[in-house]
Amino acid sequence: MKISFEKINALWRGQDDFRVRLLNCGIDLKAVCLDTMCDDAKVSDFVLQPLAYVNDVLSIEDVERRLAVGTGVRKPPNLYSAIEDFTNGYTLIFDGEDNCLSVDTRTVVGRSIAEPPTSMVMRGPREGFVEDIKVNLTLLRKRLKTPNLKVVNLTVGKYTNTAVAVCYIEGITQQRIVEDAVQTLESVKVDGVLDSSYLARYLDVNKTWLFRRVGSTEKPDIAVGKMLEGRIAIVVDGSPMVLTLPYLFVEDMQSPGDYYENSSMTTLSRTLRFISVIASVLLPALYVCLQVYNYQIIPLRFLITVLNASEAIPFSPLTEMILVLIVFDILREANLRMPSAVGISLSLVGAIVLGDAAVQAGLLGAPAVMIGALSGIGLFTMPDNTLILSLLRLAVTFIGGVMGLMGVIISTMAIVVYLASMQDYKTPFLAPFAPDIPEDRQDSVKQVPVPRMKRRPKSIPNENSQRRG
Amino acid sequence: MDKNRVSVDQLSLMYLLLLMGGKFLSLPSILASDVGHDSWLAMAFSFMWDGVCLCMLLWAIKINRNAKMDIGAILDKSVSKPVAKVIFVIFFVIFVLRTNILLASTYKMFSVTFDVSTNWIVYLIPVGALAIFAIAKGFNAIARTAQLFFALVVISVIALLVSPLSEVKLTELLPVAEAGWGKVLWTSYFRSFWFSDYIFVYFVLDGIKIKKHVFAPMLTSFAVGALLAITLNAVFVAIFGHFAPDFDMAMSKIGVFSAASTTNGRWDWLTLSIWLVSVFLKMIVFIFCAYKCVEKIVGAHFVKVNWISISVVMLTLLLPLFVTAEDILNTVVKWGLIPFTLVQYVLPLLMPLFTKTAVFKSEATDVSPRKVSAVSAREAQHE
Amino acid sequence: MSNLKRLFVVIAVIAVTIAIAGSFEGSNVLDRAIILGIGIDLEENGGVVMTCEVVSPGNGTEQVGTFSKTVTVSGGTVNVALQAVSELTGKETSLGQCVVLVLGSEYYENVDFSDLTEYFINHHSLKESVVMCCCEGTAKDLFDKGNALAQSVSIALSSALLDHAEKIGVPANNLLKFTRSQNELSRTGYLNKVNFVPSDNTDAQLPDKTLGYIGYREIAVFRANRYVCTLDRQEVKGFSLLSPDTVGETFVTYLDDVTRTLQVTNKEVKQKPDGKGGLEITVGLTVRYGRTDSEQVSGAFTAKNDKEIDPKLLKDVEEQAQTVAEKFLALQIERNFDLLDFHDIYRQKEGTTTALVNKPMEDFPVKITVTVKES
Repeated sequence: MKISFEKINALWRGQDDFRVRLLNCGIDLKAVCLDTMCDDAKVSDFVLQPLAYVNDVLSIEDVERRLAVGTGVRKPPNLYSAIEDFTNGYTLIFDGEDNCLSVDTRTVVGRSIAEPPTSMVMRGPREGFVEDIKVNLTLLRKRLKTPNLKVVNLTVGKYTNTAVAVCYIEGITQQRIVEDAVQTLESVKVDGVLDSSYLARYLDVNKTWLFRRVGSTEKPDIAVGKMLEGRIAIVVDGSPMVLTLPYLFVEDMQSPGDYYENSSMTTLSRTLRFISVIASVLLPALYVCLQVYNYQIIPLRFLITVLNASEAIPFSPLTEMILVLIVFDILREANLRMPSAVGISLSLVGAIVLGDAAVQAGLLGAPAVMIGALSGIGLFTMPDNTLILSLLRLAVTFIGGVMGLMGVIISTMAIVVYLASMQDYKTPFLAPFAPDIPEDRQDSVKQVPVPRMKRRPKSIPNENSQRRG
Repeated sequence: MDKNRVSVDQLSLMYLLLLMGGKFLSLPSILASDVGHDSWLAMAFSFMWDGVCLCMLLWAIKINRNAKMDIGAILDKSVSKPVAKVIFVIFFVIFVLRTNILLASTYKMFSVTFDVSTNWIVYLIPVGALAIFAIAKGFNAIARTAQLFFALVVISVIALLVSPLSEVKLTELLPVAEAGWGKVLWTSYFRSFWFSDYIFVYFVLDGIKIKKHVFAPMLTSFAVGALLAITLNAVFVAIFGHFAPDFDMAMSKIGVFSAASTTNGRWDWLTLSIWLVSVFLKMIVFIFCAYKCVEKIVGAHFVKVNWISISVVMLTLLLPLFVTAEDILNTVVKWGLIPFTLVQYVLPLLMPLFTKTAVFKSEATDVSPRKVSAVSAREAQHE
Repeated sequence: MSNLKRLFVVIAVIAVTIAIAGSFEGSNVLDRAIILGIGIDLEENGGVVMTCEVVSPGNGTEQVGTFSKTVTVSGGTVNVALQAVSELTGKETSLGQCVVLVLGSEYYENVDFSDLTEYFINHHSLKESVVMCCCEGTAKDLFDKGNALAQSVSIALSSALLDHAEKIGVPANNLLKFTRSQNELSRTGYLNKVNFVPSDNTDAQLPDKTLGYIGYREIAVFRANRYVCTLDRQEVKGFSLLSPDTVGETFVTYLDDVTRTLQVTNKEVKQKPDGKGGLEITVGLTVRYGRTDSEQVSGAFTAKNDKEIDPKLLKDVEEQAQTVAEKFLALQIERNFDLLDFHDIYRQKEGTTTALVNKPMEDFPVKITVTVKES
């Protein structure tokens, strides 16, 4: 559709922040902008001043030459991109013949770069992504000073027109993954994209309803690290969370700090995370089904403690444990939604009143509370999947309480079969364990020292497996 | 991606789990009642025969390397369609019976050892649901599950094996072949129904991805699995001696001496539960194979789960409602010994020949066999 | 339609879940009477009196001697008695955590208890490794000594016999080994004979309270589930010396009027057929000066100096060992029982034959050689 001042005028006329300036500098020009999206100083410096007090401008090309002081001056190819620029805070300049120029006069509104609260590290960079896509891309470019860093720019969202950038390193990332992701993003039909997690739902090819299938990070060093392994990073305007693809289950067990610590310490802490996640999901179920069916397995002295503790409890072991787990989940949910100042008192109330008082009042047994709490805390070692694992934990506990060890075995197997069957972007979700990729075990639970990681992970398709050269 | 594709490594790990799963339920006591403390010998003979057949089957896999024909195509082309159908019917019966026996043994184990009392149908529902879910997700997912559980299962079996060692006097197994070699050999043949776990390989023939070796990983798995099975059997008989035939849940009893102290509790049952994963996996694989048999018998190719076929398989698993496991073993298995032996032990010997014939015929008639879509080298690396 | 279908699926899933949940029956651990130990005595009319130590929760955290109580019932058979326990406690009896079986003297001396061992060995929940022993007097009296022992009688008994006995030169037995011994080859085996040993009460607050310990240095011999005889201390020592699993036997020796106690820290026992139907047994003992704090671990605590043991003392130990071993072997022949599995040595060669099963102990001439060295 042809660009014309009348069309823009018709669309925004009557809006308070719609500004039209008439200029005469040889020919008649109309400059329009949205006051709320533009920086007044930029409008003045890059549009008005260069065109004031001159009268030798004869065409739109002359205008463009005059405005060369501005950083972003371009001719929008069609009405849509003109509207997009306009809504983003560009100033549009029209001559009498419906030629159009858009000049970057966007205002910078947003917070400054800070350490993201969700991924603090003891050692390592403290910069985090912010909501502005430009800053985020800057943060990436700052770390990848290579012409091979390529960015595919897209716009998603009918009303929000959100800028999305698909970043990858040419020569490392397999082109097919980039194409697949871009194609998926282009096909997204949605009113608005308010955060990158909106797009994560679309990027999950198999539409799995359990488990995360797209990675996200708030730290540019992590994003670059993942890109160097052959992944792509998707930066979405307005979101400090950068998505990474393809995503492996094991990534959730790798913490940002892992790469800045001693590798044997990392191996130890990853092993702990691994054990705690398995224990968190299975421990409540085992506790219940051992009480209901297989008390023989419980060591005698512990059994006596359990018996003494649960003698006065009015609930069955299953009900008791489910109650503990639900209370724990409620506390966690409430804690998340409360302002941090209230949150602390809430934790105290939760821990003291609910935990201790429930035990004192004989509503819940102390071992059950202890196991519920242990399992709840253990889940946080896998931050991306905490919620889904806590849901699975409830399910496994219920099945274990009903069917005993058989239920625990069958439900665990079903979860594993489900996880093992998932495969997006040619990447098996459980790699490098199932299928077993021996080369990739160097950075799974075990981590070898960085100098010995000479190859990129095979789990993620890449075009250059050598990490150096 | 073909969801039934599987690499040789995955196949061999799965084979190892299948070798161990199910052999320590009621088989040790049955063998002990047949030949007393020589049961390990009977087992060893069965495994020797298994080894020979496995080698031949692996050879056939090698011949089939490029053609990637499935068992249906191979048999159709080499022995004619009607004979192939008969073979599939026998296979179907074997798989269904073996699944039934496994189910009945685990049912008994759960009710006797783990105090889980329920009725057969309610017991079957979760197991069947798991099997159907796994079949829907494909053999590849099953193989990956096996890969994930493999180390755990092997460690738990070794833990169960090591813990009672202080109580074991291997001199209990002397004199060798007290029951007589003839009887040992006969038992080994008569109980062959429990062996030849490699038969599941027939049904994934078209999806086996071969990178380098075929023989080495599979035979290693076989050797380790057979060794563990024989050792566990020997340890069981050595511990329980005179009473071995009475304890028909060998695996739940073998760790009874593991508790070093009085008050430790039966932690061996937790390791036993991990081992049970391999039993369930074996059931899943057998149900998968039975389902594939139905596919071959009706001559169709199911892309998604075919509910009629899977229902037929599930209905056959209601058999123990009408006949006890002992009756199945004493009647059906006894009658079917010869046809079963034919497909379990004679067919593998002829498989290289059949495969060669089929490959030759398909090349001659230029009718391209059902091939798996070409796999890029990158993909092959993944598995 | 699709909404209806979805509703149908949801209802079906819920129905199946409820059906499955309702069809699995487990029992809460609190609904079980968890039996820690079983004592069997003889009822006057020939039935059994069963004393069970049952876990009794509700006494706070685990405290010495207070988490269990004993229940005594009588019945024709063990099964009836267990049912009676169930009736009294109002809970399902569970033997899964049972750690000890005790036979009272009146019971084992007068009754053929084949059916009892058979019942227990085939009991699906009872561990075959459970410690089995017999006692002086009635089992009920023994189980009633919980307060005197200040701990659970069952746990005290089983930890003494299972964890400790073989380290101080007392062979110990369990249900499976005993039952096998009563059914295979010579059909002879043994049980530890335990008794309550009272100690002086120095408690001024409760001067009438009985205090004491459990002793287990005697061994009773059984053939085909019938009592044969009891070994005295010397015979037990002989038996222990010839058993490969035990260590810790002590020998008191004298050198220049100074008493020295030597303790066996390691032992090697070899039995082999002599080719003439008999056996050659070689016992190699490793001894050192006895130290009370390291009875079970050879060399973990060494003496303050490496003073060598005088060869005369070693010789003395050798003679003493030879004497007690021969005394025990003589008793084996006299009472015709086979605790050292001589029959099994020949079974390994010939297999189980009627001739072997019926072979009396006097047909096994034994040549025993003891060697002693310093550790």
